[in-house]
Amino acid sequence: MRVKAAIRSLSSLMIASIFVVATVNAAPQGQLTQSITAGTLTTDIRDASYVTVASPTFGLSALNISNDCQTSTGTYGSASQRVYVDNPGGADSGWNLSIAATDGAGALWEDGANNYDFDDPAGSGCTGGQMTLDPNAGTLSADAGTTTGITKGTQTAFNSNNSINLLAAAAGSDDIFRGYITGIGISQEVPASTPAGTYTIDLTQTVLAL
Amino acid sequence: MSSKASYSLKRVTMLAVSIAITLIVVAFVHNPLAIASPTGTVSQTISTGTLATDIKNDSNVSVPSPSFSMSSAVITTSCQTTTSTYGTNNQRIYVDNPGDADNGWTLSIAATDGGTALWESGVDNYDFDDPAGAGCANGQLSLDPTASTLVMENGTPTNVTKGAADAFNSNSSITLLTAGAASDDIWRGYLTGIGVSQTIPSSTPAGSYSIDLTQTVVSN
Repeated sequence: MRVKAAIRSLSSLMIASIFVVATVNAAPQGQLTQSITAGTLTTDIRDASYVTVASPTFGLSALNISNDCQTSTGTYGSASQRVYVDNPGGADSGWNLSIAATDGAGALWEDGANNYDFDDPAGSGCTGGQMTLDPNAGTLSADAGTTTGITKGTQTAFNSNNSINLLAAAAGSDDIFRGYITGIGISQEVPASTPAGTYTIDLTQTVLAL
Repeated sequence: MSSKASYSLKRVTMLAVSIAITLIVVAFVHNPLAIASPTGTVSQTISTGTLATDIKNDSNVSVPSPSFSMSSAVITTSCQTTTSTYGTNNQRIYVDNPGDADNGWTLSIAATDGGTALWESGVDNYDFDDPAGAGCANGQLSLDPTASTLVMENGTPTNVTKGAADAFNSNSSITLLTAGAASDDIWRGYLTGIGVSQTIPSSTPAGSYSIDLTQTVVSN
């Protein structure tokens, strides 16, 4: 009886061995999930590597003191200081990019105690000083998405602390867009007899969803 | 004694003898101790089980729909990378080798839908196996088994090695664990914390994306 049992066990093992030469098990599925949500509409000034410029500065043409009103010019936005808008799905109905003096109505071009204005239309800007921007002279480029439905603002002078529209994206524009404008024209009327100095004024860009 | 009485005595004697014989026979039949040394053999067949992989919780119960969440992302107009881990304490990546693969085995993972697989959210999608642009052109998924933890429930880690960090590329599979021929023939263990990273192309729309992966264990 013991011999029989041993033979029976051995046979079972041999049969089992025949059926387990190679085995593949491919049952379990592990699912990976990824949530992606809309980002925030923003504007910034960045370099050609898309790195934020810490203290962006745009120089106007140099002037000599004059007893006449004179005009200096420059451009707002350059290859290394790009005026960016990034819309990562945060404004599907469109957006507006505008610019205004950081200090509002009290803002002035200042150098120490000397100053002149940026938003006074009196005397065609020559009385107190007036700055004009021309976004239409700028170049619009897209990093992501297209420029379809995005229009440049028209030439406008600051007047009593207004803001100037630089770009407008309509509802039909790409919901996910990143692009920038360079070469926005700047002109500033500098009143006669303005003292020598290095004058500055801060401007702030704002982008709002429609 | 009359002949009638003698006859009766004989019958009684015969009856007594019959009863005695019957009792002796019954006693022998119902008392095995009285039978000389038969051997009782108990037999047990044990054969090898089936090499298997599964995703189980910490009670060794299969998880019906295992799911691993990547770090959430926000739409961006730049390429971005999200990360996660494949295998957690309550979703363990098990291999069970009950003597089925004495020459070793290999655990790998691939997209369930093969070369056509995509991360999908409705009609939006991105890829898991396109190396173009360092994975940023269309999307690429990488796994890092070396970052994981290997735990043995039975057997030893001898000759069981974790796979190298690798990226899916044109529908490849990625090796998670390899057991050499000299590894324990009977072994059960699991991985947790396999590193996962996915490059997501710029401007990928918002959504809840998912992709199915299938583990496979093959005996050598």
